[in-house]
Amino acid sequence: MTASPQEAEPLIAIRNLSVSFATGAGPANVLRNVSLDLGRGRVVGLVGESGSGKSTLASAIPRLLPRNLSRLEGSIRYGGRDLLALPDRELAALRGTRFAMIFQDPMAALNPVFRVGTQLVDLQRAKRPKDRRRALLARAVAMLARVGIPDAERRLSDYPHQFSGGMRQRIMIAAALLAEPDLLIADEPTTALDPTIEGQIVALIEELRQEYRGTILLIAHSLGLVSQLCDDVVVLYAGTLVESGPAAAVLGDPRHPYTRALLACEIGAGVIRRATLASIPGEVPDATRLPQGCVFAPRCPQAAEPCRAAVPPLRALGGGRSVACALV
Amino acid sequence: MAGALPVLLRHAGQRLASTLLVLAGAVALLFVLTLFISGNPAQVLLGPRATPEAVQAFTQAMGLDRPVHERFALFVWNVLHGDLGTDVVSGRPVAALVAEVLPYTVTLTLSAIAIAVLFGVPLGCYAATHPGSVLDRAAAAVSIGFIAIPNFVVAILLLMVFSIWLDWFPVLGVSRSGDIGDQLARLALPALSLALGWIGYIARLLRASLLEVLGEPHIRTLRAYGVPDRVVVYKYALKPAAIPTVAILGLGVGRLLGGAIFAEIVFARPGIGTLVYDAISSRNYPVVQACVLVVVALFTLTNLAVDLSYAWLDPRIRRAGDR
Repeated sequence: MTASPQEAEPLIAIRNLSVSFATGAGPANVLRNVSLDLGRGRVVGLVGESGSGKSTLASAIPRLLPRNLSRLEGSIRYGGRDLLALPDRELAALRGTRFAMIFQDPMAALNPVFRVGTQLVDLQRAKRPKDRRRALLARAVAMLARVGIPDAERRLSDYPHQFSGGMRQRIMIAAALLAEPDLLIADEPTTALDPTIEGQIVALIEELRQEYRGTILLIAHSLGLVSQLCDDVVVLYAGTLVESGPAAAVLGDPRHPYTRALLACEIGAGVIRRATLASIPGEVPDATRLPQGCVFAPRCPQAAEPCRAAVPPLRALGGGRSVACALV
Repeated sequence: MAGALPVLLRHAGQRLASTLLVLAGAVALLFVLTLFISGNPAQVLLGPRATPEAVQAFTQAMGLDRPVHERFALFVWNVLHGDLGTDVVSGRPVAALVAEVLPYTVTLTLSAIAIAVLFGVPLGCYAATHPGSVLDRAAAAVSIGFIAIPNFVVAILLLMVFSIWLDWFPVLGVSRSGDIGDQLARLALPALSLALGWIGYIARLLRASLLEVLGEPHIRTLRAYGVPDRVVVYKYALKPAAIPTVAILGLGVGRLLGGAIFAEIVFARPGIGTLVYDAISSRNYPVVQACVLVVVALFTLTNLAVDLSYAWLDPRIRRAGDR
């Protein structure tokens, strides 16, 4: 989803990505035929309700998918290679060197029984296999100070439980930045935090944005966060990409009924009109029993005959925008 | 935030106090038990053909004619001074007898634990990282087998196969010479007979807790940063997964000491087991009492060590002790 056609080739090009997991109720088709580009140096927001496949899409890039994976098709091209076809060893070599991740729950993302300093050394090891421990600790101290942890040097010998949630998320952000990755995947980095702490972390990401030159894939379920931080936005619904494009354009003039519905929910959120707070009727379909045709049709206020007949293809609208809706 | 050391020391102090309390309880209980020996203990000890004069002399010598509270005070006083009484058969101090054989039992038990950990831990790690593999399933079957078979049966089988048929190891006893090789050769089979069940036990316990830990988000963090599997499993997953295994191992030392008694008898090794077995056979109750006391002490001290190791394994426990 390059913002302008003349821009260089994307950092990551995902084509027809389909992912299924084996479940007790049969295969869950969590992602179906997803195609998108992550432009170099752009912040791409990935939005959708819980269960839309956002986290699966993000985890598929470094191939960190759960064990019950039953189908992984399509291609993810990076640096002239298809990540899905890469041998395990070569893919593992990209983790922590080219790709880094920040996770949703900073309480659980760090090992509870090792000192933060030890963990930050091992998390940098892939990137700098020859550096001495002392040098890696020094880098960690500088980065912790950079992300706003006071008295960073002394705190290296503390354990994760001695930090607050916000501080732990700062540690994870430091770990990600220490890897100097081409792609930083942030999986709802503020969802598990208190609202006031959330604001601080968002401000930190915004600030670091000015220095960090790589691409960021930010998974968010709030469109507000996307409009604040992202250059591009990708909207997923029930494992299908329904709309993508530059954030300003998509959020300013949404074309897909689902994007519009999401925005309507969001606008009500800050205001006191609780009684009229919009919500999307119905619920996300079960990934083991998806409807025929457009996946959003059962909840779509405008759904018509063609919607239920066939899956609408993703069509380019110009200006880097795409939408998958038979009515647009 | 308090430093880690004072917190650890306070934790250790609390654990030590409760250990001493358990030991005091054990001493009291042991004394009470001697009150329940039916009939006149002197008569029981000396046998049915003892003359009344002999019984009288013995009763006085042992202080059995004094009131209970005095005897108890004397017993505690003596235990505190390392005097565990006198062997009624040889007339030697029981403490010396125990001190003579204790190193054999301790060596045997520690060797068994070492063997169990040395084989059980890698086996558990392998099984957890390759669940459902041939080795995992084979290890499960063999483990359950060894856990189910009593120690003394394993001991006799090992003795038959390795000492008698294959003639790889000496049959019985311990080496009293300073030859380390001979000592180790004579230690190998008894230690192995004790350890076999524990190898499987440790492997199964560790497999279960490792599988749980390996599914936790912090392991995913390591994988997302390309930390090698070896470091993920043996460093970051093993330490938190070791906590339940260490807990079971601490409690298992009691069972291990019980097993050591059988191993010592089967392999005719000197030790607390052989000592207590002979003492029971000859109704030498001061020796039995001392042996039980020593075993209780070993058991509670091991559990003290286990408790303290939690604080090392899990820093959150130190924090809890701080509050």
